[in-house]
Amino acid sequence: MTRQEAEELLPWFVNGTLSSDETRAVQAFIDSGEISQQEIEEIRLFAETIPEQTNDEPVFNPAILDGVMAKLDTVTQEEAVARPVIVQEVNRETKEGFFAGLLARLEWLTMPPLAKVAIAGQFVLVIALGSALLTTDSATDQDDDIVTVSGSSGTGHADVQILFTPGVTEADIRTLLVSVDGSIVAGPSSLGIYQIDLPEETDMTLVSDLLRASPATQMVQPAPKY
Amino acid sequence: MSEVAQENLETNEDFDLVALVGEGDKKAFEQLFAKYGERVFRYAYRLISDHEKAEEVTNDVMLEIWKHAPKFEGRSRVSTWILGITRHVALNAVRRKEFVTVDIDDAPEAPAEESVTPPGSRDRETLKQGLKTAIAKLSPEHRDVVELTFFHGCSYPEIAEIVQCPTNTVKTRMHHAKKQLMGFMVEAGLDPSVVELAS
Repeated sequence: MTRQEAEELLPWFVNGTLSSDETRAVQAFIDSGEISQQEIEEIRLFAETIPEQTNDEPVFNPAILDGVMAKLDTVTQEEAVARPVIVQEVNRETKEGFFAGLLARLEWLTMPPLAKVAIAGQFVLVIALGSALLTTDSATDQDDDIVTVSGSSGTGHADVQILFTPGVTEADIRTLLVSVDGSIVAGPSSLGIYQIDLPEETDMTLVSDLLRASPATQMVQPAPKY
Repeated sequence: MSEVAQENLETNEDFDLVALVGEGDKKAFEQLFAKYGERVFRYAYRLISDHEKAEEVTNDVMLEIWKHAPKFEGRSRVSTWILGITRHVALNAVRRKEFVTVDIDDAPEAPAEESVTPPGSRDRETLKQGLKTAIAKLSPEHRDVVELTFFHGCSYPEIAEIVQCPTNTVKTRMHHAKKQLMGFMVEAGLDPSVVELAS
């Protein structure tokens, strides 16, 4: 809003009928001193003076009502507006199927154009977010069989299977796996067995023996090759 | 209760009253008259400056309200609707009876010749008297916008609806009205710039 626009709105700022946005904008010009207190006072003088009755202004005569009431029966009232729009729209729903009914429920036909654009935009946004969510879920589903304690995702290839001793802590498992440079790529299965991936150059026999020797493991065996 | 809440409550009460009037409720009509009759009369009088005709206009406006109430859909405030009817009926009365009015294009730009108060007066009451005199010299269109703003408390979109013109025209008319009023007052020996001192 420019200063000139704010100045034009001063009469309605003083009579208190501006919107809250307009009021704030005009107030900002007053606070900054761009609109002087003098200008406001002039308008206030108008606001104070104009409602006052002038000396030559006649006094209102409430008896006018008597004359009006006497004529009332001679005036035919117009017929009321037909059924409310919403009722007509509901009726249309039963005649024209689901889509027309949906438009009726949304009062689409009576809606201002900008509101239509806003709703259409929101609809598109919801569809886009839904699609994105489904895509993310699909990706997660693919990774369901690859779970690592270390957080690094494996390739899905496992070298050994381990059944850890009941009651062993996560810290013990982590320590053990770090000592052999292994990582969990799947599990636990319904039997509590984890699939462990080891580096390619690993001596499987040696590492298997080390793992078996640990009190943290109950069973260690080579993973089946598919 | 906040002003906004109070205004909303009044608006709803007005809508209810008009709805009852639309159903032929004479008690509701009397209530509506009690609430708006004087405003209609004063607006009409200030538009046409004729006591007798202003009463006739008030009478006609109330009958119009009775007639059209069933079709009032609440798209505007009741006061806006009633003032719009008043203006329409009053201006028709002016045309019928050929009252002397000044066209907006012929509105007096020149200030008043006579001084109504001693020059240089800084008394607020004097300023107000001078302003009242000056308002009477405005063209009907300019006076209309000023009256609707400060007497009837209308917003500028409501005034645009009542006088059937764009909102920018309302603002422009107010701007010119203010300029003319200041000019009238200065020529009358009053200095509106001292209003702050006089308050």
